[in-house]
Amino acid sequence: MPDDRVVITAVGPVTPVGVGRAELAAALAEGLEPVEIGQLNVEDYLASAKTYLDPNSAYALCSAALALKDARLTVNDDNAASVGVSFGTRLANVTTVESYLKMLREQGVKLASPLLFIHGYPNTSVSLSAIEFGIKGTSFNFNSGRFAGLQALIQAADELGSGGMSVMLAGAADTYTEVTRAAALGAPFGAAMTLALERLEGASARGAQPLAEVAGCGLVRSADDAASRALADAGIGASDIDWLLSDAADALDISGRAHLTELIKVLGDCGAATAMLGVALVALAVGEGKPPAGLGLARAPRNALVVSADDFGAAAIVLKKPTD
Amino acid sequence: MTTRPRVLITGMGAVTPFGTGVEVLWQGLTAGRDGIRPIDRFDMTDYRVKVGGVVGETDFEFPEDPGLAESDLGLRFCARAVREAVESAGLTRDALAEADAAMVLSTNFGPAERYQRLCESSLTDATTDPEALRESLLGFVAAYLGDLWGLRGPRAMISLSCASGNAALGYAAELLRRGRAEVAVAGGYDLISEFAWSGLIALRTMTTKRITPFDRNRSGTIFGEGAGVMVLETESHARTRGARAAVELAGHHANNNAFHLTAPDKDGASIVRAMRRALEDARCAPEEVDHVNAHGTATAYNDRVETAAIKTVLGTRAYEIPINSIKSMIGHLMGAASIVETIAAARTIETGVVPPTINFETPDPDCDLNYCTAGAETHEVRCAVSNAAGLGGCNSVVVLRRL
Repeated sequence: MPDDRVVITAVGPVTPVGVGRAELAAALAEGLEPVEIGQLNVEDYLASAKTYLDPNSAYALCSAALALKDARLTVNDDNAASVGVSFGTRLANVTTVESYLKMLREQGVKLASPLLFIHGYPNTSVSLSAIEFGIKGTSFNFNSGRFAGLQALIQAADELGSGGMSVMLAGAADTYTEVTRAAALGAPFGAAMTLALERLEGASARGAQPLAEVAGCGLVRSADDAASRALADAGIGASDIDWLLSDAADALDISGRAHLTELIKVLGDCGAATAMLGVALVALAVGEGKPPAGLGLARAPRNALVVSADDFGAAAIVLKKPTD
Repeated sequence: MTTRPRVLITGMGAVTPFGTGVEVLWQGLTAGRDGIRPIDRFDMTDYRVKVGGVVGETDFEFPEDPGLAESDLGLRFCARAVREAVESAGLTRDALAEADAAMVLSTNFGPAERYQRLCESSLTDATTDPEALRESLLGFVAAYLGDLWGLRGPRAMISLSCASGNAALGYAAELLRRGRAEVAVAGGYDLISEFAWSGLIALRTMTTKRITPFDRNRSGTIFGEGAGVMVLETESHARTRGARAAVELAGHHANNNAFHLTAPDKDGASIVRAMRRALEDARCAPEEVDHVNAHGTATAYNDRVETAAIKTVLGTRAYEIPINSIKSMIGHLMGAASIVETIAAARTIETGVVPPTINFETPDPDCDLNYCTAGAETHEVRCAVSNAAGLGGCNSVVVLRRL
């Protein structure tokens, strides 16, 4: 019987509470105080300079680069077709779309910019990630809503579970413009979070250290239903969850039974990356066996539930220690 | 070998340049009609390409939600195709609400027209209207139509450029296989808008002449608009309710060239890999493939590389089977392209009729397969492959099998 358990083996945070694993881990130990990232120098993260990148794509690419580095994984001709990437973004590359529309309005269609147009495609970040790192396996991009990040993670986990890929990068990114800031439920922060996912046996075989196991997933219309299904998928009950993290605006039925972290209150609204940042916080806390500072948890969680939802849909995952 | 639920196609719906409905599409395709016409929706004076695959009839009725008649045109395309697909599957809102039903849609540009209006209004208004912004988000259409039909299962809006429609089908099939849903309403849509048309012209992939896939003198594609939707069900769900189905969605794969955002991957290795992975997923040998509905964009690069890829994957079988590009008749429907082409492939399996590739005049030595250029052909088709590719290096392939 093959061991089809899926684990998170690396994190690539480009977030208001830390860029890179070390910064995020330090923030987790010392307390989370979000601050705007601002413009990244992408050449510090990528192999070559770029002519143009939407801020969303820049964050996504740097995040993916950090995740690959953290995973100590090199994509080459031997493994390129078995490494995939799945990405989620609620707002996509709106900065570039707005720049394109401004040029169109001011200069007319004859001077429409092909560079801006192509970088405004919703799939630009996932495509650039595949191109930058030579990822030739499964490629997906979700724009479903706030939950698109967790949806990408679930798609990645399913892809690994079915044996289709050996490694998946699952990521999310969102950045805001003056127009889209109104979509934020809290302080709007640009952010990206990419995770490396592998089958446990594959991770063990290459000596990668699993941080947390993706034990159950739920993907449905409502947050409560998603949470229930993720718990059922993991084969555990709500009482087994000792840390609940949610970016949903509304309270969940299981709130009150587990220690709750309302992600947007703590981290600001990072769009689809909000819940993925929550997943990374759990992965680091579980993987390193330390409770996060300032969030009210007395000890490192054993089982955590991360819920992401808006009025477009919902997703939830259960994370646990991989050796359980 | 692990067992997994079979995924059946139990309903289909389409809004295309031929009009409303799958049957209207099919009649146009099998007759070899030309659906390209002048675009009159906005001022075309400064546009180099003034014709496209335009949906002429847009005065739809929506008994399920009369308010839809006032909504954005792209949403109306999609809503109309969803209703046809659901009704042709013999499903109702109540039945969908009782099932674990998913809504999986896809698009290139989605509500770009609405977003353009929002940005223009933001120039004069100090604040952004939250509801207008909500309706401008890419995920809105899947959420709106999911709620309209009472679906409580997974929601997805996928965007993988012009490979989006087949990717949505593949993702929906995987939700069914993994037990995350029993029924999925899956499809894609796009709209000819100033945003899309100006950019697509700027990319210089469109011809100012006719669209002539696989012709030696082909000079580019012509884009269009519309929507295509399928209802997919697990076999057990379909059989339990007595649904009719003639075609199985047997396999799929979506990947990336990992080469360049706009420049073509000249060796075609990734479309080869996508076809092979989709056939493996379908457990379908090359010799079982009886038809390929090609991406066939009529760009110099695509048709040559796609032809080579078909030959690489299918070997000698490539020379024995009918291949077509229905883009020659309706244009390249962007996010709706591959789903509408897969609908056509499903109809080919059901009827044994392969629609033609029209406008073909001059053979190309690099494109030396049977593209049905003399008119519709009749073939028994057991398995069909539908190819799709898009900017950003996206590929998606779906394999259909006759039940």
